[in-house]
Amino acid sequence: MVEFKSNFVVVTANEYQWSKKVANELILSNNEINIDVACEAIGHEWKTTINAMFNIVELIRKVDGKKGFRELQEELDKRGIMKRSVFVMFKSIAENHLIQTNIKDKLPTSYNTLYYVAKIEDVEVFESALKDGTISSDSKLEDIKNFVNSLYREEKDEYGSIKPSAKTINLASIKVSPSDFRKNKSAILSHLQHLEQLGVVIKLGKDVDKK
Amino acid sequence: MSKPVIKSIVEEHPFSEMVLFENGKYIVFGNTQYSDLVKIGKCPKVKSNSLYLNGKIQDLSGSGYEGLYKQIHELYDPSLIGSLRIQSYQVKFIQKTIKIFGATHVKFYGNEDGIFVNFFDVLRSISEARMNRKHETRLLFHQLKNQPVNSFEMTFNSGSFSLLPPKSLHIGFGDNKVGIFTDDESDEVYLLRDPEVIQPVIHTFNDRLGQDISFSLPSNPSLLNLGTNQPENLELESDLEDF
Repeated sequence: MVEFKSNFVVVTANEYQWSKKVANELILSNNEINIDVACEAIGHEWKTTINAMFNIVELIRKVDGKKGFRELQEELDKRGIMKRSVFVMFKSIAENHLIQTNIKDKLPTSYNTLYYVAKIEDVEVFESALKDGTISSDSKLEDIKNFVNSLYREEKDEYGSIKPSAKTINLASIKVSPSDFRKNKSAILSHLQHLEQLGVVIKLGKDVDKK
Repeated sequence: MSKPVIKSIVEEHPFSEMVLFENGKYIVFGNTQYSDLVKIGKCPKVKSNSLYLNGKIQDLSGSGYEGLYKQIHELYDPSLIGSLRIQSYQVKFIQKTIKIFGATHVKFYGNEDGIFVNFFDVLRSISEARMNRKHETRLLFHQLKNQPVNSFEMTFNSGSFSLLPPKSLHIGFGDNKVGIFTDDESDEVYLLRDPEVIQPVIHTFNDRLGQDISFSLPSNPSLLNLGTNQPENLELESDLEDF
């Protein structure tokens, strides 16, 4: 089998034979639909759509963060190719590097559901959701939305409990374990002496034995 | 039709000195206090180009509007050295912390350990500004993300950061030293210039020692020299009270 590799998806020489078969066999001689061929053909094209979606993600990944990215977004909208809202969704998907083409079969098949999946940035949460089926190719938009919202709620609560308080930090503070200090005593004291010679005021802890 | 829209946009931005209307967009330039800030929004109802200075329309030729707009466009479409998306509650948290901590600046930085934000008062590192020698040199740091990223850093004026809407924002850190804060929902963009002040405390976690280590830069006016971070002498303005 000859394979022609594009940048993103493997296209086989069988594609041509396949489209020929569909054209000839989709409708039977008695004008009825050939269900098997039709199912296979629609399934095949659906898969192509999913591949196209991931190709767009890969393309956006390649240009994201480059000079002119904003202009690209505006031009796609202006030329009627992709609305800003859709581009923003694809951009969010592209920014999440946990979403990779090699796991596309395990991911939702619509970009708006995938957009919510892309909001899961924690590797452990993402992998566990894939494992327990929370994220799957059958995932519904509402289910993923609810799952992501529950994660956000948790994080929001954590933020609500943080009380920003001032922490005073010594101008230069190094803590060394007694055993490390004993092992490296001469080197540490020599460095400190050197710093003192440079004008730095050194204040040693009470338990430091300089002898 | 467009006059009431223009009036409301000018009034909605009390921090502005100048507002440019160009091709269905408005660009707000911060006043002297917020000279590091530019906001870009949409106003499709305003068809004609105009420039308002302190609420009064200015005389500017046709190409003048376009030239000014192009310069702004250049600013907000650079190559990025880093980016992140923060949630509304994280924006609120940063703004609240700025207030409580009395931070003059916030520094965003990323490395293999994640993305962090540091809060500090730069005035405490300038000897002339240290009226009370009992003031400690302080730094508060907070981890925003724990995913490893390419190394970047950018500092922003706290006052301008506090003007950002408490919404989910995408932050792009441009290689032109401009932070691009985008509200994807409304497509409003805030540009914040990095004033390139030097954080007075260097704080790291040493894996070998298993300890936090902090170093403070000397309270020396040479820190204000943006061309170098190396003071001319090592005379430290410190005494025991500072420790």
